[in-house]
Amino acid sequence: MSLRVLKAGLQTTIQGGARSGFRHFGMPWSGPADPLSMSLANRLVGNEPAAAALEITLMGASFEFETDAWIGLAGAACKPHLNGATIGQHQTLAVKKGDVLELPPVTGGCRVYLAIAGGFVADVFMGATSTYLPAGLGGHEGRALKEGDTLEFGCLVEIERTETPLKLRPYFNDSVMLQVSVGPDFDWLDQRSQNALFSQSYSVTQRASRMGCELSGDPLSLTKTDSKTSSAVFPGTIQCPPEGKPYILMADAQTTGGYPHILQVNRSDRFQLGQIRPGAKVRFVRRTPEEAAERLKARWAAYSDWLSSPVI
Amino acid sequence: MTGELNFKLSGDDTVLITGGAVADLRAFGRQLRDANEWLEVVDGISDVSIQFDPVELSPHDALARLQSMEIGGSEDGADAGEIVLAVRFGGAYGPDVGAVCSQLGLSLDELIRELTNADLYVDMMGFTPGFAYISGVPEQMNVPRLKEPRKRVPAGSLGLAAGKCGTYSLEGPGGWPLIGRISTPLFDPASDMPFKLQSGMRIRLQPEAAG
Repeated sequence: MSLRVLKAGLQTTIQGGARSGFRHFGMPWSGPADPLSMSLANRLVGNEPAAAALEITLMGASFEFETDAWIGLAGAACKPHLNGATIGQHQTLAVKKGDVLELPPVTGGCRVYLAIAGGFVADVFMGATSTYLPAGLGGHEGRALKEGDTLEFGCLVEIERTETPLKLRPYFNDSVMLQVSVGPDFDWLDQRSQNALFSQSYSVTQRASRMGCELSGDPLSLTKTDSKTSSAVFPGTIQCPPEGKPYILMADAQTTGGYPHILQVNRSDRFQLGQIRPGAKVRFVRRTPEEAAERLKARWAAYSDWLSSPVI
Repeated sequence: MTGELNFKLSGDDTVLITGGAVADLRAFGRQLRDANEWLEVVDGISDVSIQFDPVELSPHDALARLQSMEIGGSEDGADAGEIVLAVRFGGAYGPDVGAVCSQLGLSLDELIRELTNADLYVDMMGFTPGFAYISGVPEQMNVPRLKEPRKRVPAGSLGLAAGKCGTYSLEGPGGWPLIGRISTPLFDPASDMPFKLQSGMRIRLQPEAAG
């Protein structure tokens, strides 16, 4: 049961669950940049939400199946091809030995997830199969896939063909609205910057990876110049480095940081971070923590009949 | 006990606790981790952050629950323990030790004596997996970070910068001047607790002959 990587694309990694509960050791969660889309892809082939799947970034990956398999695709907008014919995302697909799956550049969002029935075989580290590139751990030899790699996957079982219900399909484009709560250092910003954060849109710079992404706009100004003592940061934390360009931390981000923590992307909206690509426009909408919790509950309730455990 | 501590929400799903003695914050952090009811409990240099699941617990209730807790429920929570770390100072293991000694006006032997006599403790983990920020370094031993970070620092490396020691549990990039290498394994991927060090742990450095 295997597939071969014909083209690895910009960055394709195996991702599974997050390494949660180890941040006090300095271990980032790692895991899928967009856990919701990965879970939806896994659901199409009868896998658990965190079964090991492929996270394909922006463009150019192709694979040849060496055995028959069931696959599911979700995430960034993209028109995948199977043996040259366009196929859809969000539906169970049967592939045969020798079939070639190609993923052309995405047209909205950033990452496509390819799940396979039985899940990919991957290295387990600290309870998860996710690739953590900075330390070369988990996934396939701890690294991004390369042309010629052969990936094993689990047994082919008879599965029920299905489609993600339309109302549960997230659509990603390059105009991103993120609901946020203020961070502990929000009042380090001057009044103008505090207002500007919610009235202007920011552009994502080329500094964008699984660690985080940098935003450019009218630079923010801090009223304090003293350095703060390092404190915990999380995926979704938005820091303001001295040059005033907000930086959003993501799945692979470090666990502590010393830059002012000005905003926090609410958990209800965090899956979207994995779909932000360079050049995208980002706007922030301020909510109270209680409003954020209500939105998360509503979102989770909408998915709870479809997905077996919370992934947002 | 909550009188001297300051509790506030940090974003939508984390409570940040500041103020009070760092030892109390550490003990509280360990107690909360042992309780296994919180998603993450992460020590900062002078605070602790507790992440909760807003689906299970509203932000208001999370805050209230933490505020009403007593520190020091469990005996085990009182102390993170002590560890002795064998270090090979200088040579290929600590390529920057010469520069560090000359900046500090110390001989290598004096530097080793100062560090091995010091009561060191881990005040925070972070930066990279298993990286420990270690305090208790004699105050005068303050050198800047490297101007140009290294792309590859070997696992076990011991750095000295900004009045602290830093240990690299894993190989990776790093900007701390390197003074030696710890031969006691800091990382065991097969273990349930792959990283040996944790915040609050007391550290004793023991020199080993450099190879």
